[in-house]
Amino acid sequence: MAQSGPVRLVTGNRLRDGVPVYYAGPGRWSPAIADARLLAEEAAAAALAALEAETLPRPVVAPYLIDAEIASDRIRPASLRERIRAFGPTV
Amino acid sequence: MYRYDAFDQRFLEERVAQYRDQVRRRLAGQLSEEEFKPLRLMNGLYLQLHAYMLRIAIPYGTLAPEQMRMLAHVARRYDKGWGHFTTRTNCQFNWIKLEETPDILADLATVQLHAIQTSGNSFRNTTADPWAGAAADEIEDPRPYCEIIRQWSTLHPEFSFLPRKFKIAVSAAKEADRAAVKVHDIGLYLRRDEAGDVGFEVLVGGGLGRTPILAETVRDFLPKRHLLSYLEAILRVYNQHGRRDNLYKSRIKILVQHLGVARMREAVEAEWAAIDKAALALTDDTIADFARHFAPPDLAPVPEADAAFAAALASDKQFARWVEHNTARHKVPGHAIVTLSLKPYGRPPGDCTAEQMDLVADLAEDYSQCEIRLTHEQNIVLPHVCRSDLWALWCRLGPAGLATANIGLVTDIIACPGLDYCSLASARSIPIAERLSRHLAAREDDIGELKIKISGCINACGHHHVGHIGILGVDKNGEEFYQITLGGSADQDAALGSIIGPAVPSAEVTNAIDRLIEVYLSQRVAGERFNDTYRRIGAAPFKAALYAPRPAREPAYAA
Amino acid sequence: MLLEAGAFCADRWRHLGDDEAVPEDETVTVSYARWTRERAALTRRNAPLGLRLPNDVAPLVLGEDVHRFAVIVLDFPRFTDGRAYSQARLLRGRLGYRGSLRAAGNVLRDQLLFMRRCGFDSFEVGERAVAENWLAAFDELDVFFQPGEDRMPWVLRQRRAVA
Repeated sequence: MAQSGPVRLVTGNRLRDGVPVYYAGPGRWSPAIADARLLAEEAAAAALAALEAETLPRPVVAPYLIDAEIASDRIRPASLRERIRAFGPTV
Repeated sequence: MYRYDAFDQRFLEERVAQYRDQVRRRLAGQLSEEEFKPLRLMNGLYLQLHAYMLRIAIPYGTLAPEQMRMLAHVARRYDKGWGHFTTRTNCQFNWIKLEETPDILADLATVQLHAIQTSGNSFRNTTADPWAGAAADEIEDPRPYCEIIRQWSTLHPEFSFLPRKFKIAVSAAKEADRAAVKVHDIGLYLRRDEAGDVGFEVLVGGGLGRTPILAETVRDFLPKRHLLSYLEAILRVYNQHGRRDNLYKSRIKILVQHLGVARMREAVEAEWAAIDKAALALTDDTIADFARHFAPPDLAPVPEADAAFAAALASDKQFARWVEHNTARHKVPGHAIVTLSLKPYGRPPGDCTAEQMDLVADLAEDYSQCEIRLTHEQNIVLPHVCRSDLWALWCRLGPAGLATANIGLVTDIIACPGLDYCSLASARSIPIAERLSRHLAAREDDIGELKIKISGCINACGHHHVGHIGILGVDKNGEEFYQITLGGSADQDAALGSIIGPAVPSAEVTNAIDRLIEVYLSQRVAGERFNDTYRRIGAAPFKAALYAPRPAREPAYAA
Repeated sequence: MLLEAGAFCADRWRHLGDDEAVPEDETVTVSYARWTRERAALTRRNAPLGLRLPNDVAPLVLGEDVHRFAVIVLDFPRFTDGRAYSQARLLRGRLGYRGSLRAAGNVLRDQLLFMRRCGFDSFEVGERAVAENWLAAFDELDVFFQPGEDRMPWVLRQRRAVA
């Protein structure tokens, strides 16, 4: 990917198994953060609103926005909590 | 231990079917997450960082071998081959799928296990002394009353939507409180009155978390027959008057602080006076029915002098050390209460593999009258072991990684799962525990009894408030810092730890604990444990050592 | 719509606003605030009367007046706010209320059985209750570990009866 610097993306937990997933495009969620669609600020809020307006059952529970950055061509969440969600326990 | 009858089993099967339908409706979209969340919490199912987490109830910490084997089965079949034992003596699995939970509960039900009310704003696991039925200092086994409370509090229609969670603990040995009674919403000390009749001292309003408080006595003596009606009175006052506007102000301890214990007592006694006591009265026959399930095992007293045992102690220093730290005297001569440590050096406290679970089940059958207990310090107890079996038992522990001889020592650390697993956490706790354990292992005998308890957030599941050294993880601008408290205690001298000073960055925690231990070691007089020294010399020397000027190259602590 | 006596039915009662005139012949409920202000006038009325009690009012303040109400409506502002369960038990068990005890507000399928056991016999529900067959909720459990106001036996006593 060509971008670098801070970005936003949408994440949630998959309803049926609780696995953290990342919004990868209309109707698509991936457990791999590398697949996450990177969103600019306005688009991020709009995407989230659209997801929350979907009828039940939604495949993903309580999606929310997180901050991330591109470093060495990889998406790295800004917070430790989201890094642990994306990459697993540190122990 | 308690064995289900037809009523209990029928209830459990109906409950599993009810839950299965709730999951079906959730997956089909008939229930929103907001409507479903309290329902799944009533079945101990959290949505955590990596998956769902299922918390299986182990009532008052007592398990049968077939139940332990079922936990191993769940670990293998539905999880990643291991589970975690908590400070509330429950068992947690971290990699659970919602869609498989009805099957898990159905499997658990075949051995009288469940996950009912291990979360949610209702009664949680009623806990007891892990040495119940084995310790010489108890009046009588408290567990029949725990089982009575467990049943009465199961899906109680009036009290299933309380302001917040509700935890009860029962001890029959007040002078050696191994159940941490004083930090529970209701604490019960089994005791006798002047006439020798059995009843309870009732305490209300203890708890940890954001506002740690010790419980206070509302009634010195409650005759045992009135146990349930009195609990109902307390719960009804709480259900009506507990705060519901602020998550951190909604436990009963806040109500007791607000009213003062005298007015709380008045309110409870007034409600109790109006309750129809006959409806909930426990007859002697009923209590005897329950007590029969907990009849002491048939153990023949064995002479204290045992040449073979003495020889084993002399010949194997490691065995001798294990006996010294991990066994305690049983009330029947020649027997021992054995604690198996789930705190191997440098590993997550309280974790247990499926293989270890299976072994513990075997050991319980071979050596402990088919009984297993769990402690609120995340270890396993085999309560009824004959001394002549200790050597054979110990020989089987080593290969399984269960032989660590560190009960009560500084490496016997209590820690919640923390930010590595828990969505409520502010910081990680397991890496801190692992680092401290590795670092202090070589000096643990010299240090002696010292209880370190670590929580990854203010919810205090690691019980840090009642650690001799307590460590609380906090988030400062996205960095992990750790608040240290000193002087806490969960036993009969219950005390809440005092904050020593500003929080310490993660990389400095080991150094900080070293400095505190150094003060203790240099100041202690003969026989003093950490808390004895702390209470004698006060916080100042510890504070001074911890925050002493540091060499320029070391980072300062956060303000 | 109400769920009552094992069926869905229309609600014959109207919740009267505090500023509306009290009709002589209609079955209406009044707020607790209005009842305390206009008790004398309301007791002179002939038609059946209902009371809406907020969930932070102790039912015992009603005293003998409970028997004047053909229906008492208790409130679940959110289904997680469980104060009305205690109110219901006090109305039935302590004050001996025999009229209709109705659950209103955020009333959901998975709390219906708890409500019945606390003495509710009537539930304000929406269309969803019909579509999702909420009646089935009452049959999910028939083993109870504590006495309720619905006269179902509880296990501690059932065991002794069987033994």
